[in-house]
Amino acid sequence: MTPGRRTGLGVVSVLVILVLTACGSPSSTTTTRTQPSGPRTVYVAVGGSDSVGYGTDDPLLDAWPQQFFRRSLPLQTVFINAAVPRSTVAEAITDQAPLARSSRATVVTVWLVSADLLDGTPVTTYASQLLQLLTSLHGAGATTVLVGNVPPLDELPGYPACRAGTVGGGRGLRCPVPLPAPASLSADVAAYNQAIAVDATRSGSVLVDLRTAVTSSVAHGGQPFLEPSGADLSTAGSTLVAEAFGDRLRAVTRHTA
Amino acid sequence: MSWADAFRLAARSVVRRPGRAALTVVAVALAAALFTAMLTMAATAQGRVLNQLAKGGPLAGIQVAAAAPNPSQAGVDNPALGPSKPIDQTALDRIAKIRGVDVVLPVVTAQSLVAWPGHTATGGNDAGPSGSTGVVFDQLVGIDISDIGDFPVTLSAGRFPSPGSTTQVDVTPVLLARYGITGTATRSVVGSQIILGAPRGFRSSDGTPVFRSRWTKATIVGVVTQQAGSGGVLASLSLVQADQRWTAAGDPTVDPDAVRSPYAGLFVIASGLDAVSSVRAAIETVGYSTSAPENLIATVERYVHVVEIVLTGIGVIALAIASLGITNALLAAVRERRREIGILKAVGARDRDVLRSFLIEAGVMGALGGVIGTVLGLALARLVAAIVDGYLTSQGLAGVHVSTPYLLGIATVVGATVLAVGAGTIPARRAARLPAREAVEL
Repeated sequence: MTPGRRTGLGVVSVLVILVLTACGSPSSTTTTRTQPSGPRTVYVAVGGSDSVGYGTDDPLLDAWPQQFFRRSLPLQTVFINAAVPRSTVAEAITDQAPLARSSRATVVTVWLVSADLLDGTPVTTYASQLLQLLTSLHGAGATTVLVGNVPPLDELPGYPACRAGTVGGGRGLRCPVPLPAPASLSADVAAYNQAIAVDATRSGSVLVDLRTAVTSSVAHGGQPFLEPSGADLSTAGSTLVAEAFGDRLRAVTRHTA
Repeated sequence: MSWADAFRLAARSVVRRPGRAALTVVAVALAAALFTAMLTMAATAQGRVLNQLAKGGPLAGIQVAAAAPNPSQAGVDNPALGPSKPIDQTALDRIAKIRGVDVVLPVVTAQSLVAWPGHTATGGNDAGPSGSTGVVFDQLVGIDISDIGDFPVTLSAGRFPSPGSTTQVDVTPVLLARYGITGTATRSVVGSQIILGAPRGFRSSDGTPVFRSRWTKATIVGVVTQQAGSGGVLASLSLVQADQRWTAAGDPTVDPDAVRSPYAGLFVIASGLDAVSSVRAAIETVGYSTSAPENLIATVERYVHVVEIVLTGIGVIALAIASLGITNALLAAVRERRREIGILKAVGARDRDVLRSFLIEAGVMGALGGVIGTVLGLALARLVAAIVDGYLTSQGLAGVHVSTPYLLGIATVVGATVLAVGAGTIPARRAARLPAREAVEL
């Protein structure tokens, strides 16, 4: 086909389209008007390696805050994952909380336990820093702050393997060797959970009891909570955490309504 | 015989042969309906073509890129771009004030991660972030959806997002192909939910560069092909602007390639085809590269005259068909009634009485047929318009609006009456001149 003929055909096509689209004013039915909606929910996740998605099959999609965002929050939600791998509460106050404030977050999840626990941060220090973080988030306008506690680390299959030093850890927080003895770890977990519960109450935050959720899942033979190295959440573990946060949010929303 | 007697005689004749009278009226009505419908549709089509071409529209659209003009490409329809140059509100306002500019439509783009849970991208590592198979890098293209008819966008499935919606998007077949979805399967994605993540570069307190995304959920409401901007997702301005602002506010040392120009481009509609060239030159003076299908426009202008001739021809053909229909119907009616004419003359009616009676009957049937035909014709035009409207709106284009052409209706009724009288004159005069005895014997 010659270029001239192609041009001719192109022109004829344009004319046919114009004749087909003939007629007057633009139709009001070409699009549907947006339904009126309330203010947008802005959700910010504050956390460590687990919240970034380390250990999951596809960290961008499987990280528990991403799953929580997709499954439990309204369609018109904006989600920003402020989590930083290996972050302690003290680091989150300087690195993550400012982003939650500048984003005008309305819903914030806080799950910062592993790094402080395994770094040996004294429980009193942890408690005061966590309270400072939670209070600052509320002060910045967050209406709902959900804070997760510590799962029963000593009861999970990864713990004995990690403690024995047979596995070096995942891409995020590496298992410190030696890990505390089971009795000591159990006591630390209990002390941290007590501090988290008190801080949640004092700051007006909502406690998400991951300890109970994980214990129940293990008792019912659920999917492994940790990935094989024992240091990071598995994809199933991320889903479990996301569901626990989602269930708690729904309960709070129902109660408020 | 008085006029009243002639009317009475004509009415009695119609009542005595209702079938024949009805058929004659129907013949006139059909011809008038055809005439009215074709002229209405032709006039509307012609108006739209002229509106699209002579008064601007997509063909008179000039695309302005966020880049300086390339001097070596002057006058080229699609020139190679010069150095990158952001388009801000000041530049937009300056371009809007150029003489011959009808409207300036901004186009915003934003870098984005596109996550589609449950789907695997087929592009390997180049498609998205490493370690993720469900996420790809792409760009969002934001336009004012209420002006969608002015953009080079074609809908192939579903619909366009609602104007201002921050939760509805259209996707292109190019994006779907990255997920292995091609052909008719692309229609099945309408209603699916995707996750969009606009990245922003940060530097943490210890100096480590990190990216954090602003994630939003969106429902795919349609599949489109588009040239408004470079990207696989088409959305409202408000959705894309929010993502663009998030990315642009990032640390430039972490993400130097982030899109920081508030507008990725502009779509400028010139007030007419003849203004396209001068507007392009003026925009390049402001400092931006432009592209427009000027050669195509010039060719289209020549063909528009052909379209005008064709549309006028359609009206003339309809008129001829109407005349033939009326003449034929009345000739048959007059021929049928020659015996009656003979009897009338035998009882004393004069030639002019017979002529008057027939002309009144023809005129009444012509007027009645004209009225019915006009109504039918307008209804037909509206039916066709409804079908075309359904097609156009499904394509997201401006729909059909047929106004009621009162003047055409009156002209059709008067024309049908005059044509009926005219068509009835010759056979009526011939019948009127027939000797009474000869007419009765026929």
